[in-house]
Amino acid sequence: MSKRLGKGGLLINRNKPIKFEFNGRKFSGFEGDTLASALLSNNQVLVGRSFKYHRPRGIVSSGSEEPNALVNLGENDKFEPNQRATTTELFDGLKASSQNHWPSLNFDIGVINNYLARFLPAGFYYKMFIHPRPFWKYIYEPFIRHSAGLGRAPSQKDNSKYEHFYAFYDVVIIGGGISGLNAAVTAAESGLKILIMEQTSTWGGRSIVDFPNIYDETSLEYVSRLLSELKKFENVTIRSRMMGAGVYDHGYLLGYERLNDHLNTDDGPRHRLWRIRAKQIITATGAIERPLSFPGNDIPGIMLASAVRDYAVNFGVSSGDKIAIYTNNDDAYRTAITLSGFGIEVPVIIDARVSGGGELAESARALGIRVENGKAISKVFGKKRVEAINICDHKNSTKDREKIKCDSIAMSGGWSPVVHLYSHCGGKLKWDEKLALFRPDGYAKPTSFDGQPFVTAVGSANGLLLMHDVIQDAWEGCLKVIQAARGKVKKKSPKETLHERANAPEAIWIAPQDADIKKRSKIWLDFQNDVKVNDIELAAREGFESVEHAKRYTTLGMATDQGKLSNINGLAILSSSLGKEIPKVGTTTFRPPYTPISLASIGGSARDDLFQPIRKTPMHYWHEKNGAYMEPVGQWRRPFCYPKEGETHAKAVEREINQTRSSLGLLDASTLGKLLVTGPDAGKFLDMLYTNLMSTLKIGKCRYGLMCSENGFLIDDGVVARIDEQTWLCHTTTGGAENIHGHMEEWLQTEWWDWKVYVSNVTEQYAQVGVVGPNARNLLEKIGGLNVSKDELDFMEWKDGKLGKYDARVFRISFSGELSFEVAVPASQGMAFWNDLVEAGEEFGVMPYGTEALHVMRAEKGFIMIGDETDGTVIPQDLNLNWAISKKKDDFLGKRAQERSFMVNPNRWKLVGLETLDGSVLPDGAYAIADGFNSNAQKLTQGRVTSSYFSPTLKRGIAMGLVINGPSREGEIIEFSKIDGTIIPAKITNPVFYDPNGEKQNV
Amino acid sequence: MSDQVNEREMRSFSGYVRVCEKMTTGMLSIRGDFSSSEFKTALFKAVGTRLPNEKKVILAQNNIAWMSPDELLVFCDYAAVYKISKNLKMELKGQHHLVVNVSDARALFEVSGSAVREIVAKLAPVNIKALEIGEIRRTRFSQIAAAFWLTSEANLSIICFSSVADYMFNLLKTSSAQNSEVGSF
Amino acid sequence: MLILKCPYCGIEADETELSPGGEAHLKRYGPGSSDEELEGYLFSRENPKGVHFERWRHVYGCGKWFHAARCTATLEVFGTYSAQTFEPPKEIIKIIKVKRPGWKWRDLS
Repeated sequence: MSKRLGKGGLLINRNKPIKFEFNGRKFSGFEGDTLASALLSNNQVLVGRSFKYHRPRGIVSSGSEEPNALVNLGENDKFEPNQRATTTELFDGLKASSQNHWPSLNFDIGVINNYLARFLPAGFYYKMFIHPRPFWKYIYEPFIRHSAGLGRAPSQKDNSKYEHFYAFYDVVIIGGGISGLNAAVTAAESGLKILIMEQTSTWGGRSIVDFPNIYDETSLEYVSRLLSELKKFENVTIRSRMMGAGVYDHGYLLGYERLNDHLNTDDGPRHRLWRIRAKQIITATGAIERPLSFPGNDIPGIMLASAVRDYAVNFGVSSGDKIAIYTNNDDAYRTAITLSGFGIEVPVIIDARVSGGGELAESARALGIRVENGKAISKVFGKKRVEAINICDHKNSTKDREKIKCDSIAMSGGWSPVVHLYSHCGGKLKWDEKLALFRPDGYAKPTSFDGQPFVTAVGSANGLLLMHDVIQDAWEGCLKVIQAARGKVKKKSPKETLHERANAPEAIWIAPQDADIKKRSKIWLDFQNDVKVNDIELAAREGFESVEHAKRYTTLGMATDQGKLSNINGLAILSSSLGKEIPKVGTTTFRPPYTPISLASIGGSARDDLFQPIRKTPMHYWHEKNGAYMEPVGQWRRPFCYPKEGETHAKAVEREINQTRSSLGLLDASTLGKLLVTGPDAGKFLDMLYTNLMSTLKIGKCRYGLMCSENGFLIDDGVVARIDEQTWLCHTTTGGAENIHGHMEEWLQTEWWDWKVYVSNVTEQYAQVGVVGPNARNLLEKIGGLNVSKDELDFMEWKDGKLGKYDARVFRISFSGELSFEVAVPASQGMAFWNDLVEAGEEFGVMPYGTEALHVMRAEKGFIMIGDETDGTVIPQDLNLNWAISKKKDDFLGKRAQERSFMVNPNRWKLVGLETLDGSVLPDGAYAIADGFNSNAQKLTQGRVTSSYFSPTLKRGIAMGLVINGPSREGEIIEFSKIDGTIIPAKITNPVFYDPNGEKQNV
Repeated sequence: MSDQVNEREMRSFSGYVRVCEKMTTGMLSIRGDFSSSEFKTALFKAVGTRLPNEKKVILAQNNIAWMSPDELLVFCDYAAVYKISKNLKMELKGQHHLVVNVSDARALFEVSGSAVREIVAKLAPVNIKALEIGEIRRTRFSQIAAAFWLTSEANLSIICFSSVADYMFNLLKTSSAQNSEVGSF
Repeated sequence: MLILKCPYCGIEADETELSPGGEAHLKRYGPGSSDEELEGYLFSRENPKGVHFERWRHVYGCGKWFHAARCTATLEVFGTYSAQTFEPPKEIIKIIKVKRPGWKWRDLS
């Protein structure tokens, strides 16, 4: 059984017991434990089920590479699936449960897939579920969805806080092991701005466990000395529990800091995503041990040799009572030596190499541990726990030689440098035949904006596995980095020579070497996704020769661990199946993040109120207080209507229109874009931007104008007012202000840069109120001041002056067809002005109206709306707006494009009014069908509805639409199709439904 | 210009720095040819300040900020805007220029405390450690456009468009919440 | 995530402070131009793997448009320069010649 030892445990505090729950059972661990070490200390080796076959899964590793020990963590708003027990620090009250099983971890129905395994080969789903087609939607997809995914999705909103942080450094060092710390100390002396981050809470990496002494200090002393040296430097930032998540272009780097995952608290942010720009990045990310591929290698109790050591040394936990070691390299002998130091029985060390190990092997032998060279494990006994193994010769015969009892196996298939971060941004790798690993190619590093390399791997991440080499490499690598970042270089080489000697590992990709198909189909490569040796071989046979294709076909490395343990073993199998060399097959692409990061950290503070900026007019809160139903218009919120209690929106809109048309309405028009264009060339400039002439506009007058893109399409419209000799005020649509401002600046800066024109966006300087209806003038006269009589302020004129106590600019323009004034006052006066209008308007029954009433009233008048009648393919001529296109001008933006044959085609869809015969409302966007079919056997169309409303004024449905040759077909009845397939006939009419002669607005 | 009628309330928040919205500050946006000596003279006569250097804010009675190679922003008493703008227009007569009152179109926030740089680092993609006092930086704060400058090591001024003043206030409030200090960076 | 130096205000701007504006140095063809000229102006664009000239706007900064010469494959930036010009400056062409011998872009090489 796995258990807590009587001694050991560098990271735990035996005086501080901690209570936690796993699958509803109460357990206890110590402060400093990870969830994995605490579970092991309670003999809870079985922690989950695999994805496809639901096989029992035990803890394999002690770090972020863990594929099996994925748990649901927390409850309610803290619930999170797929958390790795190996990187979850234990805190009091932690609650976790295992995943992917039903009804329980010990008895899982889904395990039936295991017995069907030979019917569920790689690509099974692809092959099986193609035909018959309808089965996909109704049978296959629901079934697959039901069984898909590990863990559960959270059911409650996450209430924790998250934030971003932008930081800039000369050199960022990722990894706080021996190489990272040495690089940081070297870099610190350069005077450059340095950040060193470590993903765990402790420093020193593997050294503490693997090397009792470094030089003349214990490794603990050595690491804490380096750390305290670093802390003396003001130019060095030190962060633990922060993972280098991804390296991107131009030195962009994401650091994922977990601030209180290890605490049971809501204080402060939970995760902070550091958005770093680094001139130079050093990846000192170490290496990950590889599993060995032998039959039955997925049974709980089989762990990485390094993890078995970690649990013993760091946490005082043994993975079993009798732990067999299986290796192809010297490193795993450390595990045997360590375990024996704790008094744990190591029945045998199986070394695949006939020649055996070096110094470490000699030490193990000297401790009396049995070593078998040139051997392999041919069978593992046990289902949910290892019980015994059979061993055989590694080569030639696979005949079982001996059965050995053990309840855990510590395996080591060699080491793979963590090259992920080095590779994210294009760093190339090379295959090291001797050490059997991919290492960064120092001549093909990722490059930055200056074309120079900006990521350097050092230490084990650079393929160096001996302590002395690691320290030397960290120093040398760092010197080059300092030079690249233009720091001062102090040449102080590391202390001389640590004595170390290791025999070369032997690449072992399948053990025993000549395992037959029965054995090969029991050798797991990807523990989480259940990919076995025979699956990869099948993929190769079926022609998936590219490693990227084989990955997707078999799902190798597609689990949440992204193949940290399985990829190299898998591609070695693929290359041998294809008869190619490993470097010829290559690796799959390393993509960020290194391990999964929380989605919430990517969002940062952008949630709730801060999800996106909401733009508010000066009267915003009045609308909210007065029951407005707000709708988004770009980032603005505008009142759609002001429903009274118990009133539907439709009824409210009707009421607002009727009252406006019969007496008086108020509209908050502050969101309308206002661009001030000034300068000696402003008139010439506006003549280029608008289709009509603006230079001839008289001071004090307004003109409606259209703006097109160079493609000829209508992009914006609005009223332009001439302010003075050199100044025009251009109104844009609500959504258009920023775009049109940008559009103007673009032409001024990049085409007509010698024209003297300045543009300023003054939209928010003003609160603008539409005072609309037959009593509009009466209201303004009641407020008093500026003379707004017909003689003094005629239609399409504007005037500055005092209205009451307000500094007003009054435009006499109308978008509703009624007598109408738009009054602009400084934004800070807007709310008071609005209040005064509401108060003074009481005697006229003044009624605020929203955007829907605005839309209906403009449609009754046949006015177009950008975004309704236009969609980026409509030219002004389509909307019968030829009157607003100047014939006198040689040029304006879009003029040439409007001359294209397709644009002058007489059969374009043109604007008309539409009236249903039964008075009903046409569905917005409905198509008018024509006789005949197109080549896809679809009915031909001859038009579509662009705006459609119930008109309270006409008491019937009205619509505007674009119809082939529309205006010449007035009176004709055409048919529109509804989504339910039925047809509505509608008559083509003039689009001006209300007051065609403009008598109402011109009073 | 009449007395300003202001309905918006002054607001503030104290986290590990103090955030305060400064209402009723006069702001004038000016565009013109910085290389012209007439422009500089006019500016000095009307505003009482010389032309700031690139990306600098001159901290004086009327602060004046360099916004772009042809744009300045003058800060003054709210009530003084009209007079300054009139004088400036008069002085600049005959030259191509733009002078426009943007007092109501901008919101101004002041953040104070020892960790003001840290607050910027939570919101803007700016190397805040390298920013000098009196240097203006136009950038984005999370999802909105903003400009900011340090008036001292513990005082930060930020401007943004007034329609998103609520958003800016909430950003600053959230970022300066207690227990969210980053510490050394 | 690019960093481009705005030639107007000198800020080394983050990509999120910029807005892209497509290919640089297009010649406008207005009324009187042929269909072919208009098509070239509106629609024909280079799509190089390698040296490219683009327009960017420092939209969350000084608001100025500028040009950037960069490599679309490695994202190396050869330089940024004024928007008020019809062709890349000689210094930048010189840099590109050294760094990318044999390069071609429209009629430049």
